[in-house]
Amino acid sequence: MKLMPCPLNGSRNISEFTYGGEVAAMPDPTACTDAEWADYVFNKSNPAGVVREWWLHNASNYWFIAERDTVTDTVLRTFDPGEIFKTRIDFTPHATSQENPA
Amino acid sequence: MDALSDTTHRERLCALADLTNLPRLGLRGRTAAERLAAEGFRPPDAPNRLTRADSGETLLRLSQGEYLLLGSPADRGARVRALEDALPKAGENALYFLPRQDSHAWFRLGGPRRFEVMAKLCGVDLSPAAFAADAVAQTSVARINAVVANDGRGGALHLLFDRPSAVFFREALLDAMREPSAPRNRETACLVG
Repeated sequence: MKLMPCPLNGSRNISEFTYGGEVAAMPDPTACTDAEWADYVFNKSNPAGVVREWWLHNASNYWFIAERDTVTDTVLRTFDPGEIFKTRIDFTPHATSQENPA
Repeated sequence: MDALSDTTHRERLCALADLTNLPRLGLRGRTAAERLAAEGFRPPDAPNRLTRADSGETLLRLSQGEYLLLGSPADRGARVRALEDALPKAGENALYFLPRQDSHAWFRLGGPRRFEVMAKLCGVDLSPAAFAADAVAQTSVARINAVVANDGRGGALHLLFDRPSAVFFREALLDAMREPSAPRNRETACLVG
């Protein structure tokens, strides 16, 4: 059985988790070009070595980040995304108030 | 004792109750613990722990900022229902209401054999030595996602899971409850034979 150490729930069977893709720096969606956004959404670097990946613990609906060696398929560390992402991002801030005045 | 009465005896050692119709709610956000404390509940100190209110409600902490409040059978969940009516539904002041009445079913598994039954359905060690009183486990039970809460004061396990799976989950639990445990196999084989 393959086990994954969840930062919230402890060591669990890998069947309790869903892979969520590589962790990549998001370009500013309001300022970047379409090519930059498409590169962020569709292209993956897929290196041989240590990568950072999003994982979801299904039962608790908890997203976290794992550092995994893709050569040995060894999980080196898992941690809460709050270690990296400190502020909330609003994608459509205050968009509707001017379009639909009361 | 014939095989039928032996089955009934085993079921008495483990009792399943469907509490799905009792009120319950979720709260999430930076001010969730503060709001629950203001309502007279004691938010658990750490995720995956629970506390019991004197009036019978059970408060589970599911993550840093998410809580699940289970109503008390004593007042048919009236206190939780009153809190739900008073909460802002749209998310204000970093407090988000999470409706749990229709999303989750709620079973209570009591009796001295409850930990043995869970061992048949869940890969995580939920024996009393590993799964202490007032601990919460969010894991896969009978191949569906479930929240398992070990209510030490109430002497029972609370199981919350996807509501449309309730019929399947009930059958899976009853099957595990009727099944003889390993040490009883020989005795049961004699009874049946």
